[in-house]
Amino acid sequence: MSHTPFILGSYLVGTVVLLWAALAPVINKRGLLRQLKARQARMEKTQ
Amino acid sequence: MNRLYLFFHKTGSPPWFYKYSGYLIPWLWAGFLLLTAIGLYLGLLVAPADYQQGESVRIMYLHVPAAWMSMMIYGLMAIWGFIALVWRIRIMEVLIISSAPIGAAFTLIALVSGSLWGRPTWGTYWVWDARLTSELVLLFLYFGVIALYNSFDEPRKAARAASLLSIVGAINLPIIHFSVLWWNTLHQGSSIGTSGNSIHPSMLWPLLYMAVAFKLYYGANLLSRARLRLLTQDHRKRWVQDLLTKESS
Amino acid sequence: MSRQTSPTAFAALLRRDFLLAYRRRAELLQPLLFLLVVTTLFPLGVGPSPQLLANIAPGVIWIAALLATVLSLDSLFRSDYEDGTLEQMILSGQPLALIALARTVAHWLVAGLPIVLLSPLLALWMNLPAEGMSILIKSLIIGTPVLSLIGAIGGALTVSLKRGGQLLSLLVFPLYVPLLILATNAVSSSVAGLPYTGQLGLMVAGLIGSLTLAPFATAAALKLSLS
Repeated sequence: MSHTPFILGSYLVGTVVLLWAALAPVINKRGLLRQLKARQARMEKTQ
Repeated sequence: MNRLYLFFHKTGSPPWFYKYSGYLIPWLWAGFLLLTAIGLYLGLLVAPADYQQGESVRIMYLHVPAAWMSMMIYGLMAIWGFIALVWRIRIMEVLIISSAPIGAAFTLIALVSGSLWGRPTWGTYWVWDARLTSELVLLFLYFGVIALYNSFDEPRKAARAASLLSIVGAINLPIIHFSVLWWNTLHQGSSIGTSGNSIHPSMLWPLLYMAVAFKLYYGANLLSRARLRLLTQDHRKRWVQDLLTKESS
Repeated sequence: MSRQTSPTAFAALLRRDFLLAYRRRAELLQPLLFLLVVTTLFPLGVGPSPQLLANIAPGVIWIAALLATVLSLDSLFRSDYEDGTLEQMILSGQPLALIALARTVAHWLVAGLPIVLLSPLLALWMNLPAEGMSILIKSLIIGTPVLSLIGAIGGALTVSLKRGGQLLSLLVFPLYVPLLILATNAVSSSVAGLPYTGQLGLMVAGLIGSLTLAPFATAAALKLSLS
């Protein structure tokens, strides 16, 4: 049996999981900052 | 003494932590990418195939460092948790809960790569092998910490509950590991292990490069997760507001 | 107000817990009935072959005991937490670990001991060979207190949560793994005519270890839940 698909498969899974774990905080932070800035702008408008 | 105290006080303050961890993160990512590139090159292209396992030994350069990380991160969580419970340092509370998903990710990688290694080597995806089984239990321990944290509304209380659980879990982890090891040797003949034989340098080096690379990954990911959590928790506080005005201007 | 000594307080707590348990005796039966029902499901599920049942008997009985214990753990501190008794206990000035230990001992006596007493019947149903019977009972006598002690930590951590039951099982089952391995292996070894004292010895070590450490962890968890 060829071992190549199993090797590639496991490295693929490793890449996907590590990428997901690394990108999750980046994406969430972007969303949070946008939200906070929008709120700040709203507050300034009302002042 | 005074200076030391000041150091701890500063490091423990969220704005200081936020500022300086931001400088550190790019360097950690760069180191991770560099070492991973070297490790993968050595492991996938340079290192020879194993005479017993054949080409599938190349999975080990992913599997073994990931398994090491999964245990190391749980141990570190217990240390962060201990500091958080005893000295009530908030950064530590943030660190412990930011570590849990990363540890779970490495555990998942160790499980999947181990089972993909098992298919060509043992002929089946899942064997109740000692290492795989204790990794599985470890994954449940991580899920327990995350689930417990998410069940509380108040973040500081949640973090202290998670700290306590990870300390209890870390005391149990070696016991679980050795009991599973012992259980396994009783139930099945010795499977093809990688231990015992002395490992050839051409296989050891990629392993070490990957292990250090994963540690840098943990550092970078931990810091960026911790920063996000601090922002979320402190979004009404002064320093976050200042940060926002500085960034938008 | 005169301050009670710790042994008196311990005895008073135990007495109170027994009284409460006695008044709610119908509720106490539920985990035991659960144990019986779960054990009954196994022969129905895997077939009535005596040899097969004998092989899986230690595991089935022990897993049923784990499930029954976890079911009863959720209510371990809950009523005391909800009616404020727990806060009063902390204010009493007695060490919280002692209070936690008293509660755990009471839990074992009303939830763990009945499992031990019921186990011969379960062993009979599961066709466990006679040699294994006494070891099964011994392993349960040593092991069920550990279940209560470790489980109390989980119970204390989840007491302030509205729906703690499923979370509790996720928290404590991984911690029960070593005990399950040792206990079931001791029973199977004795059936196979192999030595089993080592496993029982390790279980006793686990009992002593958890007896000294777990009450402190439970106390810390209780304090945290009340903060």
